[in-house]
Amino acid sequence: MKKARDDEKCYTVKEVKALLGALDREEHAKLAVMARERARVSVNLDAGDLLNEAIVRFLDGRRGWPRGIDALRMLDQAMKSIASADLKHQNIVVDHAEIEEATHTERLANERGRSTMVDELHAEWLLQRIVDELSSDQEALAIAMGRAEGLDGPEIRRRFNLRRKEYEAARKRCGRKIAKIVSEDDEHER
Amino acid sequence: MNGKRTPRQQLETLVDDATEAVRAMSGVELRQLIEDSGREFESEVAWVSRIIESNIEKPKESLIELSRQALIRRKHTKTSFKLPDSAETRRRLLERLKASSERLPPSLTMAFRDADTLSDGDIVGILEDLGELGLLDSLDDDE
Repeated sequence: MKKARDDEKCYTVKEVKALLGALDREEHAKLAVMARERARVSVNLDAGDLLNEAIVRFLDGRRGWPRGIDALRMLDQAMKSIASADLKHQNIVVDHAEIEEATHTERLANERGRSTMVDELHAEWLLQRIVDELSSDQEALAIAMGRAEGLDGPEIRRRFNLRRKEYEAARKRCGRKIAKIVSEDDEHER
Repeated sequence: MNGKRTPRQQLETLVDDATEAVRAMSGVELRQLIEDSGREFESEVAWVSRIIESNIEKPKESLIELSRQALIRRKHTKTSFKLPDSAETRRRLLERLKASSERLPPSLTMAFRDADTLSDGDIVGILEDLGELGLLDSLDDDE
């Protein structure tokens, strides 16, 4: 009975295969860019690993694919979760090694789930690049900084006194600029 | 701004916005983005196609499904092979098979070691078994 209910809410494996098989070339290209972007916040997994693992999880039933949700959104969400889980795992491994010599303060920081220094430095470096890239577009920069701090749309609009249309247009520009920066080849940069 | 978010958390949120922007891009914008990042559109498409195809073409059928498919193939083989009409031709066919016994499993060659003593009914039974195994297909073409 439970399986029947799940089948009503989520696509079956056969349907997932059909959805994946029906993706066109443009969608393939979008997935490539999105996988490379998600890989920028992962430690151990490259873009290919992330995309492959996302697909496998839908096919082996570890993740459900709610009916009506499009493939790019679902695969992106799956890649995001996998990248986050990979990072948490990395932190645990590093934390265990560090704990031996950690002071009491450092140990507390580890217990709070502190990210590794290298990872944070890399993230900081990318954030700085985003700021530099958006410096000539103050509205887009304000949105990026607001989003980075976890603010939602209405709060950003209120704080920076942006009308809805201004906000939507600037958010589009912001997203495209960030997409360009984070999808750039990082093999020589990291 | 609460100041509690780590750089990685901040970046993760911005990557959310970036992937959302990519999903909404037109084909022209997408191609430009990929080329600006130093990659080729076609190779990116091919790369993702390979990952998808390697997963959706992989047989993940259960044993029951595999058995069901084997049964369908067996039924198909059984009906597609037609035994010769005359008893004499059937016996000659069996002799040809015996002569080329390297194509047969040892357990079957044992069954018609003394083909001269077999009745036509025995020969029909053996040929039907071989036909179901698909071992008569090439001979059938030769006939």
